[in-house]
Amino acid sequence: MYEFIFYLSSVIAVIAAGAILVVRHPVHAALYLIVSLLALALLFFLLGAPLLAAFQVMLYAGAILVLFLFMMMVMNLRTERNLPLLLPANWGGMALLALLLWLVLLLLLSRSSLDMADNIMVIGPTAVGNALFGPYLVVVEAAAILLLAALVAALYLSRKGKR
Amino acid sequence: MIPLSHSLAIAALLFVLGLAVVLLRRELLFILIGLEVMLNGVALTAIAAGQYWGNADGQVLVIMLMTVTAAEVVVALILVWLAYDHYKAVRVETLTHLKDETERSSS
Repeated sequence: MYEFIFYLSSVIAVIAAGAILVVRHPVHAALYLIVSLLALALLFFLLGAPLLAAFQVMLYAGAILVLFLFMMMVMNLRTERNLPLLLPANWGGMALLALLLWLVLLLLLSRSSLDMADNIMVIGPTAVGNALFGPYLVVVEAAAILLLAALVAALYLSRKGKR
Repeated sequence: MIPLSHSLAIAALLFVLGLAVVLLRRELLFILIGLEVMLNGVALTAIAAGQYWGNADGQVLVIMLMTVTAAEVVVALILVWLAYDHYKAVRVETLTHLKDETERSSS
């Protein structure tokens, strides 16, 4: 049962990633990418990394992809002339994949988690935090410098005037 | 228990799909989305390997990867917007004139 859930969600992730190749509008591609990221979050949870599953939903699908969608809608780049922003006929694919993913999640939650807790090795948030702020503290500081550099670059590139 | 090779196969498939999006779809936004798919294949590789070896280093690597992705997306989206604003370019074929005429057309 555990293997079935794992392979079904991986199939959803791969199909949603393959659908990016064939869709025409970038907003559809971003929505398919969100479905793929949610399926990957389920994979992370099944592999035994619950902290990263939560981060995948919160940071990737919640922050980065929403930033993507927001910038796409604000910029309004017209790849094809006079195309409406969202074609109603193309909602079906990603809605079907998201519904399937939700059913997989229900299937996972309806099982008693005790029967598969013995063969998944869960590495929880405590171990990750100990590793992150123990031997990898330099990585955290490098991430802080990287975010500062990205902030400076964003402010510099989006300044007014000198166009 | 899922064997490591299956997780690695799925991650490789995701990576190849993202690479195909980068190489085949020649629009700037699709290239960024393909980069996201490739980075997620890498993240799945790191987490599967970390669970296989039983330590938290893979998850630390993925947290670092998410930070790098956020910084990359912010700067790249502004660059895409500037490319559209200056050259009306949404595809990479129109951005190949990195020569003298860009100086003249921008100023």
